[in-house]
Amino acid sequence: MAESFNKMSSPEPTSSEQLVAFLDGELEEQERLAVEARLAADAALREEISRLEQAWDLLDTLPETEAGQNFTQTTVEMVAVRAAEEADPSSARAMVSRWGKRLALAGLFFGLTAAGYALVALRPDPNELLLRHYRIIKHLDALESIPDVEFLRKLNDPELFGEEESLVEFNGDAQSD
Amino acid sequence: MAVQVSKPVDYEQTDPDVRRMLDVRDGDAHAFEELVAKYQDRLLNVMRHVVGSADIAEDLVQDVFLRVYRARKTYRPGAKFSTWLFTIANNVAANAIRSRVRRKEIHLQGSPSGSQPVATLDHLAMVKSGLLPARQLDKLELQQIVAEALTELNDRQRMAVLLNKYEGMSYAEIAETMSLSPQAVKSLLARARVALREILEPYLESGSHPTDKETIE
Repeated sequence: MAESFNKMSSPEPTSSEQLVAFLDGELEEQERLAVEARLAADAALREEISRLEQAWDLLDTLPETEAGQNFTQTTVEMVAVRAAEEADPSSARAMVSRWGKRLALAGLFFGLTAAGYALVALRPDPNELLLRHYRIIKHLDALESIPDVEFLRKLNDPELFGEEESLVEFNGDAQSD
Repeated sequence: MAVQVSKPVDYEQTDPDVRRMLDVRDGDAHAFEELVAKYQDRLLNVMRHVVGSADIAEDLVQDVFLRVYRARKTYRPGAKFSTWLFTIANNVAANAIRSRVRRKEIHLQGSPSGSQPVATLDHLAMVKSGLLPARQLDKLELQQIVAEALTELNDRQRMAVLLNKYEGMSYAEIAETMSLSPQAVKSLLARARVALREILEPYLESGSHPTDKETIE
């Protein structure tokens, strides 16, 4: 019988595949009809396919495995525990990430605030310039009529009356304002 | 071979377990428990024959369900749920075999009764001596023989046989589960079934154990 099968399979190496696929209902119509025709004509081939089928059916003798009564519950609990364990690091990472973002935003806010304050604080005050040259501006018309620069410098000398006079005048004006 | 041409299938409509898995994805713990209850025995059956131990098989099945749960948020129904599930199972089994054979924890001997050791020659001698009932003798012995025959197959042949025999998967489904072509599955199953037929041949003829036959001869 086995020899017959080997003879059958020698010219066509796929014969065993065809027979098994035939048993499994996996052949296309044309192939199935061809195998059926060969089976009808070849008793040895019928014997061989019968052997294949019998051997396959013997697998049915193996006992089926059944899980214990608590298997479902223990499995679900195990999965829940493991999933929770695995979720912790990710939660921690997410928390770290969230806090990192918050800190970065806070840093950015304070940085911008400090930069703005510095810009405002360091910017030259136009009023300060006016105040510093208040005495000159006040007497500009009179000073413009003096062509001698050296004389103008002497007018500004505190030992004469430049600074003292200007301070008195300035303070007096400020108070009156 | 009738290679099934894949058509766009709405698995959500055709497979209730796909809908259950989508419920799991959406946070339904009860749906997950239902899937565990429905598939645990089927997975155990396959895993036990793959690793030869009911205890290890239980661990592997739990690992499969853990992976299913982990993958819930990215689950997309691209196949029958069982095909997707057994694809995971196949990967878990392959990993287990690789790692545990390396550690020599799996001896890959068939054990029809799960965690119980394979029947020894002493056991068979006791059986033959009449200390065990004949009906039990036949059943136990045959189970052992068939389990041993399964272990003679290589890992891929054995998995293909188990999926085909116990899960009733088509060649196309086995191909998808094992990441093979349908033609490769066809060859795999043909070699496996011819090997099983050759190993089990003596029992098909006489129903006797090879040692009996050798003794007779």
